[in-house]
Amino acid sequence: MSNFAILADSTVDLTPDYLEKYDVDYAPMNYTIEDKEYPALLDWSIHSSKQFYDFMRNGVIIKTTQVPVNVYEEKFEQYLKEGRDVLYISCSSALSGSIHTATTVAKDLMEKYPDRTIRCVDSLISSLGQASLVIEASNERAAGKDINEVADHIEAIRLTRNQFATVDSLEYLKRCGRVSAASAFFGNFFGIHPLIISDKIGQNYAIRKIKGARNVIPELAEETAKAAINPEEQTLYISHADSEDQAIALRDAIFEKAKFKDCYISTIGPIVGASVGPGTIIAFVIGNEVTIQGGAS
Amino acid sequence: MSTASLNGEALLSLFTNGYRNLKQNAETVDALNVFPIPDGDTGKNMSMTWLGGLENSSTEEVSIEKMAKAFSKGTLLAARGNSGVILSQFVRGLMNGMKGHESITPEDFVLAMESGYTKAYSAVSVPTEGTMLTVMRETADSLKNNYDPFADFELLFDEAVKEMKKSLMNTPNLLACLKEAGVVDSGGAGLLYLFEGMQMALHGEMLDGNEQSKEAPEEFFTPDSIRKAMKKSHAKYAVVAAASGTGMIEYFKSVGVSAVIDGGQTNNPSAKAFVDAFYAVDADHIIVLPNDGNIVLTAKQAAKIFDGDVHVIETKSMAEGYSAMSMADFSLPTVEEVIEEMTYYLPNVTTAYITTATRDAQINGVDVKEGAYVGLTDDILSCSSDITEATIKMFAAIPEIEDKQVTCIFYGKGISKEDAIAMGDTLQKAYPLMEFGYIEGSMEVYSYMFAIE
Repeated sequence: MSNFAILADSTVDLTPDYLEKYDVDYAPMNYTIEDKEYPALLDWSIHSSKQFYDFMRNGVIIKTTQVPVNVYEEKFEQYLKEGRDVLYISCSSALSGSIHTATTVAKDLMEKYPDRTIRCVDSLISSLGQASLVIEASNERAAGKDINEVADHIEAIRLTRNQFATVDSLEYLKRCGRVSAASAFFGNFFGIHPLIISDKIGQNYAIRKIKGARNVIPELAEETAKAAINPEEQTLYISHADSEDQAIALRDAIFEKAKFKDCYISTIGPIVGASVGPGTIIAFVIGNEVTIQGGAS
Repeated sequence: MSTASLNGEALLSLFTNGYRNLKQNAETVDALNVFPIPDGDTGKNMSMTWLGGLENSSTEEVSIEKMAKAFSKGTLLAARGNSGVILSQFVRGLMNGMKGHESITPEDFVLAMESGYTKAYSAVSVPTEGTMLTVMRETADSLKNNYDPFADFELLFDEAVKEMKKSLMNTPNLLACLKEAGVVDSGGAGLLYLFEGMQMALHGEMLDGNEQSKEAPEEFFTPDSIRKAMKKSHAKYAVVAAASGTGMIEYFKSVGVSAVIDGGQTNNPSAKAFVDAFYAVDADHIIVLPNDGNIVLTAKQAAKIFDGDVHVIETKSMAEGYSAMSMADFSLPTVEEVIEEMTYYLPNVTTAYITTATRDAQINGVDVKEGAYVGLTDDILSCSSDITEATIKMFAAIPEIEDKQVTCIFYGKGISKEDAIAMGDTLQKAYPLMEFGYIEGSMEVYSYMFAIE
């Protein structure tokens, strides 16, 4: 039985019961509201998700920062001291520099604990796409695979996670520079909703425009259902930024087109939430390896 | 002044001046930030990181080894953003070079810089050239390989700043996204400001920390004219559109139309005007939006005459042209795909106008009175002396209006934005699920044009 620890970070968007069920820990990033910094916790114990997204709806600008050095040091060392190795599956490096810090910290700690291994794997995705990789890693661990086998496996399959997202307002993504597309793409037009994928280098890329709010769910459902390979064998993952009704409507629309094993819905956490804004919905399925790469990164 | 060696206290004073200089120029550094994530916070992140080092160091620490340890620990903890993390690792390597020293010589510092960039490179899983990393490495290597040993720190920093600037100015040649944006690397610029502040301190010029932000130096930005010329000569796609009304012409330019030909119903442009525009935009593939039923043929004629790849999308109104531009995605690899997106919603666009009747008539069952407002699509749908009533009646007569989702209201000459919004609010009550947008079109002939999709 492998007993290495699996660590994610605040962008994994799994609820506490799932973190427990799959025995997964996470390293918190931070968010700042009116110059006060808070750790981005997945149990929403500091601000409720409603409070958090209401801040954004009311125009409060929320900044986020990557996982601090000392947090990695503490998290990693906690397991190393117990004699356990650590597999860290990070948020996409195109969205957060956290993995670079983690890699440096890991290098130092492995000098201090020469018998232990820390593997840092860039998930190249975020939210429940990252979660689906973390869950796969946990299942592989339970099947007795060792840390290197699991880490190599996750690296090999990470681009099979297909993301289909749309946001209510492009303002947030534009503000933090986290969507790639020519500026004219988002010019002064009305009723345009972007269809955003995670591309092969893990950046959010607006691949197409959908016109008209009522067309969003049907077109998103169409793309998602089309992309899923063997849907009956997989879980459909949907995350939302305080827009559960939309998430459920999307699930139902996808279920009409393809039969999935089940569906897991959760709220988008503070880190991804701050960059996509309230009203965002994101579906993740396992499909073909992503080969598209957006424009300038 | 000649400083042949530095102890902990002296180095910290240089670092403090470096910080103040960086802070005064932080806005410039923010403005340069396009890579890897263009969130405009490099200046802030680097200053905060460096400040962490200063705050963790004692101004009375004479031993450079001890000062270095404290400063490095402070920056590591305060590191934020990619630039901050890389900077903190550079500091860490730099400070490793102070190990075992009570004070250091210029020679020690050059070697420490080498250790600094080595550490910084190892912190990044895929080091990218044309960034702060390159600026550190090139500067350190040049100081080590191209100069005789420096007699004092003044000489060392004078040369270091020169080399750093040279390396920084070359970053756009190494990293394409910098060149496209017309900027030098932001992290590299931040590093230069730190070193420049240290150089100033050596020459006795201490900043007081309260000075105002400085204006950005022009040399860090490619002038607009050059950037535009660069872009133009590499254009893959260009759109040429006909439009009338000063607002409409400006609008089409603002959303990415490369050349707008002043035309429209009362002043149809010639094929030559189109051909001239095709030459002027100089793109591999040209897409034309005639935006008027009477101009489609002229545009097609021009496309035939012109020796190049020209595609005419048969938009019969400026509202259709708007719809086509709203769906355009010029990052698609082929012109066929670009056109497919642009034409995707075109069959669903209804163009409607409000204008003034020039004579009495009975058309399409509508009683038209001279001087009254007339609502029309391809047919005349309504007439009223009240503009709002004419509009509401016209909307009600549009087939399948309940299925429409978005209406862009272009308001003409003599209509204010407030008038247009009031009209939109009235329509919103009748069509609660519809989204409305407003654009000042300044059309001569029409009070309003509606793009209903």
